[in-house]
Amino acid sequence: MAGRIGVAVLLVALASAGGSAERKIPLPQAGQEFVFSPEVPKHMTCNIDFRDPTDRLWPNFIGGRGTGRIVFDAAAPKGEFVIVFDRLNQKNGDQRRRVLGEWIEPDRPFVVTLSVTSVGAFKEETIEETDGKGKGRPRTVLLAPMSGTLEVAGRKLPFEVKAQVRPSGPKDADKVESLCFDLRWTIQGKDLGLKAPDATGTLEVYAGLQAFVPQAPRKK
Amino acid sequence: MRCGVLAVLLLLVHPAALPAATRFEQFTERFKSNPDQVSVVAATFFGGAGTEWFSTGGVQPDGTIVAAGVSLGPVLASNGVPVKVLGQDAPAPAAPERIVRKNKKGEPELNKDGTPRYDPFRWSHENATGFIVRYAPDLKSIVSISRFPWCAGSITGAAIDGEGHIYVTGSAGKTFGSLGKAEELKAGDAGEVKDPACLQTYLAKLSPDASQVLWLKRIQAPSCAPDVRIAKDGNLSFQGPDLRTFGPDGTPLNLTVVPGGLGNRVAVNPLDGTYARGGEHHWPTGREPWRCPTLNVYRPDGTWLYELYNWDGHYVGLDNLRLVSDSAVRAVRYDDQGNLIIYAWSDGGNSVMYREPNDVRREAKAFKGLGMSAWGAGVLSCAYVIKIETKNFKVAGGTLWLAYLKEKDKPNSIWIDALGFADDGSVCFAGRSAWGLIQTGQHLNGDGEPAGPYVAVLSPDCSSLRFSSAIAACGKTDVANGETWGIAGGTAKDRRRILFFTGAEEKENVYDKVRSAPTLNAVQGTFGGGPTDAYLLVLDGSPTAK
Repeated sequence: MAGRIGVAVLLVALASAGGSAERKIPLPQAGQEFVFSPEVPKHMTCNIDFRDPTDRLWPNFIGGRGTGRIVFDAAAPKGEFVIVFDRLNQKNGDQRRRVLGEWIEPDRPFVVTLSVTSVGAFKEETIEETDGKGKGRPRTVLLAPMSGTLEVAGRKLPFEVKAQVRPSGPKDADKVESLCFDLRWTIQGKDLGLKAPDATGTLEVYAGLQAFVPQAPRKK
Repeated sequence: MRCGVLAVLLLLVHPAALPAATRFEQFTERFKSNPDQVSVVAATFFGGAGTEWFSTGGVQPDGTIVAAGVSLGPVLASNGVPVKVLGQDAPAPAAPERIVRKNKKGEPELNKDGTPRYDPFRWSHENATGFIVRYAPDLKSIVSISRFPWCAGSITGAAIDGEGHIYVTGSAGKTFGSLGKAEELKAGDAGEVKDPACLQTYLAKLSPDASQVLWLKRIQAPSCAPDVRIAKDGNLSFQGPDLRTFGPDGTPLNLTVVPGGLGNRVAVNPLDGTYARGGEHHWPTGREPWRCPTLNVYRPDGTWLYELYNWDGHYVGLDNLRLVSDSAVRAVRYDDQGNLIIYAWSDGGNSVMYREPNDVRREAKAFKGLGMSAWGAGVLSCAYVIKIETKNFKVAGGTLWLAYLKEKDKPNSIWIDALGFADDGSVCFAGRSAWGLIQTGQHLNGDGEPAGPYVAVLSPDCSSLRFSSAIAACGKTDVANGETWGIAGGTAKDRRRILFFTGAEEKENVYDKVRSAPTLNAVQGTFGGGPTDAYLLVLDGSPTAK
């Protein structure tokens, strides 16, 4: 019986190694343009999350859209864009338990702005990734350095981060329709001017950005 | 090609992957005789030629089981026990007319056998007459039967205090004045109440033997089906056109107006008076889920405390989330420990209901439950049962609840129509299932198909199925706010009872098997006649019951 289970484990491992789980979409051709637009596509394309790593405070999730573009070239990409996050989730009720809660007031718009002023060369690197069970495993990903400014409630903080890049496309074709960027970095709450006791320390920021080729977006 | 070979090899080496071991069989086997099962004490009809159902009740300190309900007349069966009329009786109404259900085109709906499908009788019916049956602790006999004057009003909620007093509430009917002199309470300025089902409600305190009305109050204001509960401090929490607190002597202590009214999607925390409202929010672009769940928590003064779930549909539809199953909170309760218990409907397993209520990017670790999953499902109806602690509003337990086909390893639809809890925090519910209900070993369904109306009890953390049984022909009346069953818990003399109340028809065709509601140790073992009988199922969840 143990032998049979061993064979099964081996087979599952082989299948996983075959890479069927993640579809590999080729990189776009050099010169391909990707845009952030406030109108197209119709659905939301960007998010920014703020999280207290100690979990004492509840996270904030904000959706948004951008303006600007990236011209793909693995070695020398060009890009400049601004994302305005103005769709705050769970904005009602007492906000004091949330990371950015002290700045959120009922019926007052709350906006976070991410301005990316520089995009560096795209390179594959192997990173240590943690799975859902907290186990580390190496994974090769495409990274691109980005820098710019994060603005929250009038306070501006510069950032420099290696964004993880993922080309995305329709299910039935190996073509690139969009580029997804995952930006993760930490800030100090006090640098943003936060004063609530649990909010002044280290905060995790995650921005997920999706830029599309300039054609009309796919329909559902 | 490689996947095909792998699948064949896996079938050879892994017993769980064999076609015979579908999830229906695996779960049925797993919950055949788990050690924490509750036992069935009794299942009985109550009724005769009239139309009646049970809706609520409880356990008195000496173990007497109280079952309260509604009769629509023209007679109330008594099983040979004298019926005590509370107040001055009024003339019995004519038998209620059955209304054929119509589709959107106005055409009558038909059952498979061509017979007309009727609208269920409701608690707000003009004939509604409350009655109370008290059963001996061993459920072998009826101790007393009390009835309101005909058409005086329904009973939709009940609570029993430490001295055995019975508090009942419901809609007040056209002969309500015959019940006794009521103190008229001023309605709170409730504003617009959505779809009020009745225009006046009452709250009454009865003597422990249910023979006397000790005090009576009426509120003339549009309301949902009212309910009453005894809070930890002994005061009464009344949920009707608004939220009110009364002392045990009936002294009004507090009033909170709830905009939009109340119903089974609003519940009050018995520990601190905060209350929660569940629901759904619709989103338009077509890429995100259309239905997104909402769960709002308010302070006792009505100000908004927390907004849970209700993430922007655009947000959960983002490529880095894609939690696109439509989902909606359909029932909300607080248990005695102040935990929120919710039932969320969803059309699939890719739902935000797996996540923490205040953190859409974090899976709720405590949502392990029975281990049911929706893989292999097409579009269907899934039930998420979730317990949320109310200190940090994290998931404290929960499960996905599904039916499964037997021949094909595929989930099937299931619905929950009523939600409650037992004294030990076990989560109780009742509903309807497509073929493939997972039943426990002590089920009452005999050789009936595992489908149709059912009741179920989960362990407090929702990780074990303590009882599940199809109960054919039951759940046929609207006992309160669209719910087809009432659920109550109660402990007396170390016996922890779980009570299910409903209305039963004589027979039901469930997947071509015509069956009646099952009975066990019944005072009345057979259907008594008329459109519906009351039906009571009593389970024993005492630690020593097994």
